[in-house]
Amino acid sequence: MRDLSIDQDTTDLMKCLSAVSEWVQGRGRAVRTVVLGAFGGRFDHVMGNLWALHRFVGEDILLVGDGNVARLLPPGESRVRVLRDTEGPECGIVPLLGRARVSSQGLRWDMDALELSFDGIISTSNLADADEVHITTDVPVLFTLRCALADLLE
Amino acid sequence: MPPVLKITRAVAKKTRAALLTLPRHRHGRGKKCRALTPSAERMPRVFDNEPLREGRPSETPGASCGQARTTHATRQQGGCSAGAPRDTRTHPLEWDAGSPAVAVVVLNWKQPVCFGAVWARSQFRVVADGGADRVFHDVAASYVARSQREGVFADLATVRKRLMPDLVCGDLDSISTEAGEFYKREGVEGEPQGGAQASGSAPATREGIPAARARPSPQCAT
Repeated sequence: MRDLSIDQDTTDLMKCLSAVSEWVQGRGRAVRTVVLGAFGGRFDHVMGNLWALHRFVGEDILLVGDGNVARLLPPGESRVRVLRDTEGPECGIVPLLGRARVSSQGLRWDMDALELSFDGIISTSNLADADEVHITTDVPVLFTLRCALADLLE
Repeated sequence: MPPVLKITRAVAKKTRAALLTLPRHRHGRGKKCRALTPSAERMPRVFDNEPLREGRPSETPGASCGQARTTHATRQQGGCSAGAPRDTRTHPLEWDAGSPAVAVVVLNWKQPVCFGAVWARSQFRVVADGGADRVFHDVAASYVARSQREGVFADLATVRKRLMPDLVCGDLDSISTEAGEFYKREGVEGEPQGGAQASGSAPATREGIPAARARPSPQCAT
């Protein structure tokens, strides 16, 4: 067990992600980290989980919980496969870092270099219509998908 | 093209059943393990016979490392180099023999139905503080209940020993004494990193607790 209580500037999730990073160093970086139990319950913890994602931009981290999966899409183009038998179609693109210029293909309401921001518009309640969604952004944006496999264990 | 295995509800159900019927995870009892260099002994062998094996990379640490890394290097060259689109088509909840390694982090909240499939697939399993109790109590109890419905009748102690993490990590102020002592007894240990900063300078504080008030944990005896 690793007691890191002396460090109160990071959350438990960040400490775990750091531990995963250390583990990854011996194996190259091609490791996916799946975080289970990331949604639901205390909203400050959920926001803390989203914050942790932004501290590990570019890492392949998937937050899973309470019927949703979410990942942070780094700047550039991302292709996200949607497993349509268990995922979607409900999805959202949320610019947590302020303003993001986003283009998309494969969504019901696609965007063409549209600026997303919390004081303008954001793309929640969207629908993924294709098996593969293409999203291009200039700053990291959160991509959330409904996922039946993330429903809570009885 | 290697066969692709999707985690459907049926596969998730099969995995849960497999978790209950496989031989016991061999942890050295009371043996201190180095958390970040999982030895062959610490690597989970419980899943050797599980139904998902067909599509998964070898669990032999040395072999899978080299093989996997080659695949990843190829994939990264094509998918993650500057300017090229990031390719996330191989979904974390869907894998084939060439998929990257998976690490799982279990947080302290209700767990999803894909827990068993992700846990079985993962090569590095970290539970965050109170997340240990989610595995120790909630998930284990859920599997026991399911096993009874499916006529397997696994008991709680057996299930718990098959759900052994590689590392319990965090402030260790939420984990119950019962779970903490259990994992410690079963050899789930790391090297305490008292003064380590998790990731350099972090801009925010969690719950605004200053470092001076950090509580020592009863689990940090070593």
